[in-house]
Formats: sequence, structure tokens, C-alpha cells
Amino acid sequence: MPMSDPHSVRISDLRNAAQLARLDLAEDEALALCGEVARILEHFTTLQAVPVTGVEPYYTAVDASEDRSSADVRPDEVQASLPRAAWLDLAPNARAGEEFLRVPKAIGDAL
Amino acid sequence: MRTDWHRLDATQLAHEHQSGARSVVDTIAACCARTQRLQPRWNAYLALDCERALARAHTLERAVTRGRLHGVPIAVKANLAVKGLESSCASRMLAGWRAPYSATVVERLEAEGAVVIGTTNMDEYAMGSSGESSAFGATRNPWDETRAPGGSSSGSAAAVAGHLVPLALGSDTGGSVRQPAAWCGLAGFKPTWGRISRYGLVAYASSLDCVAPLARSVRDLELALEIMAGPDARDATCSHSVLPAPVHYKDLEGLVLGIPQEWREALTDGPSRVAFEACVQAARAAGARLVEVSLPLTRHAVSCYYLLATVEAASNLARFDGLRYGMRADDYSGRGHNSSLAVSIAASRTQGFGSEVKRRIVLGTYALSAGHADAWHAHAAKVRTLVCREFDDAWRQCDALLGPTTPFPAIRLGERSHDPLALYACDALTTPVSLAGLPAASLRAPLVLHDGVQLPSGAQVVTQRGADRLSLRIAEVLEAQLGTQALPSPAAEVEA
Repeated sequence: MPMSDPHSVRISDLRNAAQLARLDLAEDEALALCGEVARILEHFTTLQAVPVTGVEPYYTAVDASEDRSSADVRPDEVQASLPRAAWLDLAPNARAGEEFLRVPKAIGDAL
Repeated sequence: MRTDWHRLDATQLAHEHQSGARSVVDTIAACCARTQRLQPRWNAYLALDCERALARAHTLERAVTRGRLHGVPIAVKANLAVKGLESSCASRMLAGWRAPYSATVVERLEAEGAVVIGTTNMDEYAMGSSGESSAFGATRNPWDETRAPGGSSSGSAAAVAGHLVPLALGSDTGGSVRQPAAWCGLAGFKPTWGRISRYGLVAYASSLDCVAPLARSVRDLELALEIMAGPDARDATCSHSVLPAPVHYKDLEGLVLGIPQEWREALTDGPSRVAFEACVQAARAAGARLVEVSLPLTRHAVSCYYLLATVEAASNLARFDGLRYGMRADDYSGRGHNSSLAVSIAASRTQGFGSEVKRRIVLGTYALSAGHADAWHAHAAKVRTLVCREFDDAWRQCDALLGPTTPFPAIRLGERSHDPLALYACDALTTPVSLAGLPAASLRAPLVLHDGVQLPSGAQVVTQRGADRLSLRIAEVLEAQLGTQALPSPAAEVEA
């Protein structure tokens, strides 16, 4: 797909992206933020000038020449982790001595 | 009690503690007193734990085995886990969160005797170039308190520049250690991507993030690298290659240094150009052969970087939903969806994240969304390949690259905070190196007179992947040639 025309960056698409990102922006904040992002994307369209036909994308800086075939994989054995209490201490609604924590009602709601 | 501890670098301070010439307890007590006194001035820290630090100092004082950082106070950026300390990433989303474990790098430094004083201020989730996007107030530059210290490792840079600690940890994704190092008159080092474990680092852009140290001497950076580098079973992206043996150069005889013409031309003001040309002359005087090289994609690096980094950030920050991680909004019930999971998540993220984080999340989500991903994200990833090839071409002509770290010296607080693109431009010369995953040491270049004020500037030495030691050694030789290793630091005279 060819790169979009810079003017094709629509505010409605950006507002949809905000929704996809689970941000509940008020009307004025949405307009301001999406306007800024549109301006940034327009600036970034200069990348179109770089021809990339036949070029492979580069998603990670992992050195492909390094032998990572086996050394990185540890034996599939259970290892010690932090005690349960340490994790429960981080929860906002955990009760001392109990093995559960309270969360808002969510069952039945579609995401 | 000896009161000159704050003038020493980490290496010297550790030697004096090891030999018994100086008391660890005295140093840490003085460090805590100075930090508490000056915290309101620079806002370098988000969390301090002097009680913990002093208890550890007493233990170290009695220790028989004395490590390479014995009794040296250090500061840690608030996106790294330090067991028991608040690591909030300078975000309301993680305010009050205390890490239940320590990052591998913190464990390794502590095993050598380092004493963590606290976690430092930063741009929220490491997204910023000035330190102003912290939810807990901007950090001020100890060289000129009306100016930004740079970002995103703003507090770590201010802590070292303010002589609150000799050594601090930051993270460098697109320049977040090198740029504040340059603006605060420090040495900063971004290692080869994967050289140092990131276990315990809150992820921003995983293909770019590196843990990186800041110090007032290059030898401290190398010491920190030696201690922190090496494989880590808890980080599958951490390299298994061994850090090469130290290289010893008294000068640069036999080395070829490339000067990228596009980096030189990016300098926007006369004094910065003069300062950088002094670095070039110093390299020549030290015996290096200089060649001009070309990296034309430099002009696209900021766009390429921000597209890739924001896509990764949108994904990495999806976990902060108020249920699995982060603060949970309580006041979402008035929207007619009481107890709706989706509404709870959206309200928590909207209230928890600051404006720059939201901006980058929306940008990254858009660039990766159906119908736009090929045009934006995939295209940028291909440009990244070409950026790497440009560096590969350069290595056929030279052993290392020498260029300015930033296009201009420290900006005034508020000068660019309302213009995201103007802030992103601060990263013009650090992002190309990040995209290619290369090591780079930012050294102290001569001071520049800017708006009637003497401000620090920086130059970076970039080497091939894996040649971390070489970049540091060249930086050390250049600082010695320039005389900037003894740069006068006004903050050292600020008494606690």
C-alpha cells in the first residue's frame, strides 16, 4: 500500500485510535490532542521521500549473527518466584491474611 | 567528618572507602543531608530513602569484602525497580508503587557496594526530551535553573550535575541519557542494544530501550558498564557476548574518526559550532586521522524513530489499565455504565496518563492500526534498515564517528513544551544511533556562551555494535585533550 497522502490523516481516524487505545477523551481534549497528532503525522510524511522498495523491515536490534539458538532457553523447570504475599501487598484492595483481592464488578460486560 | 566527598568521582570515592581513608557512613550521611537540602531547588528525586541508605552504609562499613563501588551513593531513574522504593515512572498511573524486587542492574551495582539514595525524576514513562513531562513537576538544570536539564533522564542528570551523587542510572531509548548529559555537562553512555540487562526496567520502546549510566568521569561510565554488562537469564534479549577486554589508548594514533557532515550542519548556533570544531581539533591533535562521512538519512531519523517508538509504546503501555497494573479510577460511575470494565479501563488510563504519553499512545495506535500500518509503521521499519546500512557504510571508512550530541544547548523551561515537534527536534542527532542499536559515549565538549550564559555542550563518539569500550576510550582521550574532564561545575560550590 502506498503511503497515505498527508491530508488523508483524518481526525475521525485519530479519535478512533484513541478509542482503540482505551482513552476516554473529553471533546475539547480529543480535538486538541488529535489535531496535534495530525500535525505530527503530516511532518512525518517526509519519510515518503525515502524509497524502500525491496528493503526488509527492521523491527529489532537483536544481532542476527549472534548464536542465540540454545543459550537463551533455560530448562523448562519450575523456579522460585516472589512469595504470594509480596504480590498481594501491591494490590489496592487485598486483605491481610486472605488469599484474594477485591476488584470492581466486571463480569458480563463486553469489552 | 570530611566534607569534600561530593567533589570526587565514583572510582576515587570507592578507593578511599576501600582503603579506609574515608568513612562510608560519613559519606552517605553527608550525601543524604546535601540531597535533602537541595531537593527543593532542582527536584531531582521522586523518592528518597535515607534511612535505608544509612542502614546499608553501616553494614558496608563493617564489611570485610569491599566491592568496586564500595559505599558509593548512586541515584536510579524511576523507571527502574529498586526493591522497596517507589518507581513511579513519574506518572500518576504508578504513583505510590513500590517495587517488590530490584532490577538486575541495581542488584549488580549493589553487589559491588553501591548505595541507592533514591529514585529520580524523569519525563513520564521516559517520553520527553526536557524533563518537563513529569507528573510531579519539572527538574531544573543545576547549571542554570531557568533551563531544562534534558530528558528523559532529567533527575539522574541533575543529581550528578548537582553533585548529589557521582553516578546515576538512566535509560536511553532515543537519546534520553546522552542528551541530558550534554545539557548538564556530564559524561553519558548508551551501550550497544542488548549489552545490559533490562530486567526491572519499565518498557517504553523495547527495540530501542537501553539502561545507561551518567557520571562526571568517563572512567566511572566504564566501571558501571563492566559491572552491569553480561548475560541475564531473566532478560532473553540480553546479549550473551562477553564484554571485550579494556582497550588502552593514550592517544588516538592509528584510529580513523569519521565526521558526519549532516551532524555538523545540524548545529544551529555559532557557539555550538565552535565548541564542536574544538572537539574535531582535539581529535586531530590526539593523532586521529579524520575523514568526512555522509549519513543523509539523519534528516529522517526523528520521524522514523517516533513512528517506531510510539507504536511500541502503545503496545507496552496497554497493560496499564487500572486492573492488572496502575491506578484505578474511582469516578467513572456517572457515565451510565457503572461497573463496566471497558469504562473503568478507559477512565483509569485517561486520568492516569499525562498529555505527552496520551499523544504518543494515540500516534502509535494510529500508525499500527488496520489500513495505516503499512503506510506508517512498516515503512518506518524499512527506513530503519537503511539507517543501519548507512552506518555499515561508514564503518568501511572509519573506526568511530565523532559528532555533536545535540543541535543546541539546554533550552529554557517552557520554551518548547507546547510544541511537540520542536521538542522532538532535540533528538535529531541521538535517534540515528538508537535506531541502529549502536554504542555511543557523550563526552563533555567546551562550554558555549548562549544568551549571555555559559552552558555545557556535548559530543558523541559512536562505534560499531559491540565496540562499547572503544567509544568510551576515545571519549576519555578527547576529554583529556580538551581539558573538559576538569570542567568547572558551579553546582559543586552550592553548599548544603
